[in-house]
Amino acid sequence: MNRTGNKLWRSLEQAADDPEFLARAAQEFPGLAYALAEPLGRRQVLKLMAASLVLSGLDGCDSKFGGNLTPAVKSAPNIIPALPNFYATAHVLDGYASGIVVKHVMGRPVKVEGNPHHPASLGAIDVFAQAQLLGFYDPDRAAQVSVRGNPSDRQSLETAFAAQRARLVEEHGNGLRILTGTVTSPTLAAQLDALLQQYPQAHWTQWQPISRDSVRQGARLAYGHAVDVTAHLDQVDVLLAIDGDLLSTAPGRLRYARDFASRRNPTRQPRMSRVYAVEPTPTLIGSVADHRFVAGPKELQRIVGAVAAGILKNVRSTSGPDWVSAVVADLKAGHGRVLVHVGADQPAEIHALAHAMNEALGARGVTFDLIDPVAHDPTDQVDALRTLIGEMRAGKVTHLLIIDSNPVFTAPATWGFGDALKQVPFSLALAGNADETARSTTWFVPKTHEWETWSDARAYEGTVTILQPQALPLFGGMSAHEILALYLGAAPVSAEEAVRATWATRLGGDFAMGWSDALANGVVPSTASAKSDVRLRAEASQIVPPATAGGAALSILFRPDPSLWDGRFANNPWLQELPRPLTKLVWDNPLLIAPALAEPMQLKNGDCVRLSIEGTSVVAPVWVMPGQAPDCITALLGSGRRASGTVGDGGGVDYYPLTGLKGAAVLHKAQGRVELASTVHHNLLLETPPEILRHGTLAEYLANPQFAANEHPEPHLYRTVPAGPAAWAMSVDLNACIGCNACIVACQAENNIPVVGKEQVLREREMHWLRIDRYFEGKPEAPESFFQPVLCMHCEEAPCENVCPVGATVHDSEGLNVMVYNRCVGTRFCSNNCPYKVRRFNFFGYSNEQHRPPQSWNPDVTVRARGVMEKCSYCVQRIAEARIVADRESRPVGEVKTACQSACPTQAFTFGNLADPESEVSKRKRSPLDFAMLEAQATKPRTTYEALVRNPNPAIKMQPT
Amino acid sequence: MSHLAGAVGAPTAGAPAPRYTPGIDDPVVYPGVTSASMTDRICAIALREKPFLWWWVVFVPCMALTLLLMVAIVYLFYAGVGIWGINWPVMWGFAILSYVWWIAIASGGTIISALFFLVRADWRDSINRIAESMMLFGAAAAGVYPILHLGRPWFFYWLFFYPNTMTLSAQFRSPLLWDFWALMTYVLASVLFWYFGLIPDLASVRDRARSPSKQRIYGVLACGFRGSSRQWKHMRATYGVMAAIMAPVVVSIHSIVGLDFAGAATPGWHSTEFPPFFVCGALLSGFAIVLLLIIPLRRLLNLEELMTGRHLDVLCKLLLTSSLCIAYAYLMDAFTTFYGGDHAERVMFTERVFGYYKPVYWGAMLLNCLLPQAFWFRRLRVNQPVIVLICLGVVVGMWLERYEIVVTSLHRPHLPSAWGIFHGTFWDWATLFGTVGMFLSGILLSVRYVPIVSMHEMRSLIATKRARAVTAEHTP
Amino acid sequence: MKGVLAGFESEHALCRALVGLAAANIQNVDTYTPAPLNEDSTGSPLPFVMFVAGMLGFIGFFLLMAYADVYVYPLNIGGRPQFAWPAFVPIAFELGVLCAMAAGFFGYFVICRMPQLYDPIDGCDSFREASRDGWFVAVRFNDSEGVAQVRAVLDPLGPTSVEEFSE
Repeated sequence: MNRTGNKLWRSLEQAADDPEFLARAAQEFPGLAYALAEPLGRRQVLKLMAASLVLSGLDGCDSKFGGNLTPAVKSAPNIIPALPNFYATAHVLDGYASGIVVKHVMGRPVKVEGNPHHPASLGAIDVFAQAQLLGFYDPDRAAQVSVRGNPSDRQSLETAFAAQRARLVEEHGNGLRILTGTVTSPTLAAQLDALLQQYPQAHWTQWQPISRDSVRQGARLAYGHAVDVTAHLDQVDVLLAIDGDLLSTAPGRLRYARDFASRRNPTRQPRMSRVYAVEPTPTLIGSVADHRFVAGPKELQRIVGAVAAGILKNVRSTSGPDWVSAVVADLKAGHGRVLVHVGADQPAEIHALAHAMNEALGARGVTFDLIDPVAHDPTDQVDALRTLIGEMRAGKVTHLLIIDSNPVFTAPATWGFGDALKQVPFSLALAGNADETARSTTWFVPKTHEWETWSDARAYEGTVTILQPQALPLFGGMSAHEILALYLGAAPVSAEEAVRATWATRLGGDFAMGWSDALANGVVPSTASAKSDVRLRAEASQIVPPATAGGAALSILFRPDPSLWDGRFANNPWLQELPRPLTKLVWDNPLLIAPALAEPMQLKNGDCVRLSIEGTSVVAPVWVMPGQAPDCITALLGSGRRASGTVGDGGGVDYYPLTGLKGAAVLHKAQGRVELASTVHHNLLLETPPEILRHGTLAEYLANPQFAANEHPEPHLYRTVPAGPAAWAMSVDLNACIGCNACIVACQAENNIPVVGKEQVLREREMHWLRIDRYFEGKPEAPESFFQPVLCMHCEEAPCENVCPVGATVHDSEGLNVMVYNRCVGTRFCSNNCPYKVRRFNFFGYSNEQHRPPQSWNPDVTVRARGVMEKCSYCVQRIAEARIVADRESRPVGEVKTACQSACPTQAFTFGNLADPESEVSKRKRSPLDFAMLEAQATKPRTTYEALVRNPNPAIKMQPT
Repeated sequence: MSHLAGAVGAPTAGAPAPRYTPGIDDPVVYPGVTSASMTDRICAIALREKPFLWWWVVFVPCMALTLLLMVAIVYLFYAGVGIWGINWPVMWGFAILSYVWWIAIASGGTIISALFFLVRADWRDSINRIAESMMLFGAAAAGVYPILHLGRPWFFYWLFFYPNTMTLSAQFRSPLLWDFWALMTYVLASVLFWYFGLIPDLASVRDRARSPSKQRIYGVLACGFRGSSRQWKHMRATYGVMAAIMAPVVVSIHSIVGLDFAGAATPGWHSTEFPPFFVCGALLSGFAIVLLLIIPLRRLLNLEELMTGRHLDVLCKLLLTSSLCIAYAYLMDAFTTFYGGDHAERVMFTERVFGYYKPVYWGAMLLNCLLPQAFWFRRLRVNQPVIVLICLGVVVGMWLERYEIVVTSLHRPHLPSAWGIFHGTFWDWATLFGTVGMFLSGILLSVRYVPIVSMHEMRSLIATKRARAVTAEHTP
Repeated sequence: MKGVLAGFESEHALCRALVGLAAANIQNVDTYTPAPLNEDSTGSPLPFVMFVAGMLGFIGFFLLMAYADVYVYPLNIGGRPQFAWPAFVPIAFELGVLCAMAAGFFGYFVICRMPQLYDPIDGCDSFREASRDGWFVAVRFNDSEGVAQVRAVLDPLGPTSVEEFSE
């Protein structure tokens, strides 16, 4: 600061009487005019300037926050030291909200939970929302307004913007374009509408790379109007998922997962649902389906045609494989309680056909509903973006505002958004960090994080959540509402004012009351979209699916990365190191190819290939994916970022350059190979050993409900029953687990688990306390896949405890196998002796090297040092908390929810007190499916599983090859 | 006979002594060797002003390796055990397996020195000092590892049980704790045993020493031993009991090392045969190293009249015997695995024999079981090049066996999701070869300054032989 | 206090000398030999001392561990019984052994009054042979005429050397 001050001083010496300079300087340093007006000593001027430097803050962002700072010496109202506060808000992904509750300790966000009141969450949370904690604390977030890459500040922005606005006003917004993602926020929508009214010539474009256009088009084709579909999987007896994304990427996936799982455990539901999945590449719903049929894109068209023919025209088509008739029969049999669902990656015609089939099967109103579209002004985004680029090229665009969108990275390279952007004289990007787009616009304004500003957003079925700030802006910046307000009127409007303005009229009754209720609950009551009563168009059932999609011999499926989505989470270490559900890969996104495709080319995991379409080509490693259709390759988008931050840059491969190309894909073996870090090191198993994972069919279960139960061994030589009042235990329902990883990130966030980086994962040193084991069984072309969450079993006769020479791991009175970090000397014998291998070791001082500030750790959990063993503790800190509460109210300790349990969308985990026969966990352990892993080891684990039961159609004999 | 006496009696090594090709029926000690000549000879080696050239040639690289060990240790303490190749399934690597390997070598030395003292084997007297040095420095090399192995080595003292403010004590059910104490006992007992047997010889050196400084040093070390009747009487009695204790101690230490594995439920470890199996391994590597030491030394130091073909023959026979025990253990290992029928055990064993690490398994088989069978032939038992090759093979083979036990067992745990692969890093190897250098430097120093042969025991041996000869003459 | 040191070239000769001295009823006779003389192998208390020390070590440490696990730190380790006596045996054994070895080693020094770095007998030139292959007998006495008496006994036996020493 001192240096800057001196420099300014010198320049002032020369230019003290240049009025233009004074005008500019006056903006920068209020009080400088006064300082120069009368002769003053150098010291005094410096002092004044130093003061103004401090006030405006050299970071160039405004420090005008509402309210006062409260010094920590006086504890702020309703902050009690060491007791957490919870504030509801929502996590918004591609416009759609899912409710969350942020846990604060001493005013610092430290953990995210799902919001039980929110229809899209019901208390569950997905990996993205959970990992927002690191996104919020990310040190790489931008703090500086910049113009053409040079540091600037808020004042200069406003000065420059004032000129622009004057011009736009008189030209009625000619040349003004606004680019956003999908918008469901009523406030933002209102602002945009107002803006378009004020500037009639302006245009608003929506674009998101993970496109749902075909869903919208499909609905239009079928119903003639834009409508959204919401499914009710808890009502579905027979589900046909065609390349389904219900559990993975569809809006409302958390709710869908909950409903889906509610029909999967035969011990709790009289009628178990049956799920057919037809898909070219493995998806989550395919992995948990009762029948998974592999079909390449082209074959898929034929199959859908055949199914449609069977259902709509009652003709037994011969074009599809033999199982089609069985599926059709099953669907018809379940009339009214069935659903045909199509993934967003399938063409619109297939969606339309599915609508027709569902209507024909009488499912409407039972297994799905049609509602008015949730998104504001749903349009065809691909076309919209192309027109925008065309206009930019033609020089029709003079002023471009890009809000939270990264087209330079995500738009198909051949469309040339980057070049077109150069033609735009004034472009402004509002983004969380200086991403690829923000670096090529003239102006870049840091965007405040979701947790730092006010806003609102709608869930998949329309319910609105008002997003309230969780903290003061860490790095300053502006919100979308604030920047739009700059266009609407000269007077700055804060985001809070904008949001309140929207709801002042809409909230019925007492506003203050309704407002605070909405904030407290995280939902605005009765804001769900109205049911739509559109009728199916007659010609919908006549639609024939397009004969061949692209007509290519080899086609590429572009899918969002399960952890990085479209790339916006690339800088998040938790998500980068999250083992992808089916490949268990971390820090990388190789091309997924079928074994049948790999074999002739002698491709092994990690070998590099050159994949080219229409001249554009990308060199990338491959991963042989069992269950992938041989005539297609799956490319996961989102990696290969160039400007995401220190964590995400350069990792993986960027496949966006290949998107938007229709030609045939060509695959050649290329030089070199990439070491891919996967957390599993075993191949397909002929049969998963029954002592590990037990599964059977519904028929077997009905024949003998005990089919999976442990064969109980002889009584033991010795047995010390813990004396404590509670006996903590867990039951994991394998029927519910969909492998979505929510539990892993929740555990990582709750328990301060470090990230170790790709190089360490390659050396098999990942640290996740909770892992989801994935087993493939059967033929590599079409394997059966199983998920099994594995965490510490808290054995009553724990092998780890006997072998620790210093007693660093012992049993407590309530049956927990506790790990005393401070006592551990690191002999690692406990891990060798753990049959379940759930113990993790700090080979290096990982915790010292985390990409996060100290205040982001969970203060209730020790941060482990180098050379110390660690493992799942059943969230002992939560147990302690519950015990304290119980003591205060002098009652037996009540319900405790572990982090994995509260995050799980399907309630696969149940944790509780085994000593209480009425507790949920006791009930689950009485299930006939209950079994202990590796029971022969006689470790008496407190964590047991409910065996997996699948409900295959007896009419379909074996898996098709 | 006189030329022998001359050769052996010559106090300096300069005089060219005649070479002896060891024969299968050599005497334990050549008749011409007298107490006087033998004593002068051995003391001359210890008192030599300038060391031999060959000594420097071997010593310098060994010291270099020792230095490398120091570097490896400093870096380890700075960075953490992550610098090694160990990983999630294979939590134990070179540190443990090299530790077991060294302990085996040391134990072999103790067994030769103690066990064969108890059975009054006359061939042991001329080599027990070498065997004891081997035990000493082998134990030292082994002793380096347990502390390096810890994740937080600066807390190693938590393995002692002592009153502390942490209201915690050591956990006595852990085989690792037994091992810790067994190792400590073994190292200390070895030092005492070694030094105790050394005292009369230090006295001899003291009395031969010319320079006052050496007289003082050896005088102090000899603690004023003069061979008075009282000193001899108690020495004999005590040394006998010490030997009688060392024999079970060495069995216990290696059985306990075996229990480190047998006491765990890990596939490939959970086997009751380990303790005896490990002791056999100790014998095998012990005999091999002793042979590797005496074959060059007897030549370089002109000790061929004291370490004769008889010694080679006996040691080779013992090596063959222990190799047969090992072979039996390997067979039982395979048998029990499949007889037991535990799924994980079978998977692990199949991996061990046919999987990624199969070279290790078959290497151990070949070097430990197959090659030593050559010693069924009398001629090979005194053929020094053959013996050296086979012994080197056994030393490597025993290391491979430990590798197979530690690494191969760990890399295939019960859950396939936890399978993995282990590779030693540069620092793993640096530590291993560093300890080798340390061991050899120690041996060389002891050769240089400590009587290489237990002179007082040799004197009794020669005396009894002489007496027998005399009585033979007198009986018609 | 004076003494006579006589060396002989063999154990036989030394034994004959000892017989002679005994016959002449001369006290304070001590031998210095390169190797232990045959008869004196029994009668040392050290083995018993070592046995006792070993047993005390074993029992003591066994009880210490039992006390620690059962009374002081009764932790639930893998659901095993507190008094896991088989687990205490190995350490108790090792420590018992250590005690025995130490007792033997240090007991020897005590019982032989070692280290005794100087003894007047070291003054004799021939004495160095005692640690090579000279077999010596030393007689210590107070009155001066003892010298003649001793020489009278020893000289006929043909000693290699006879020296007088005194402090």
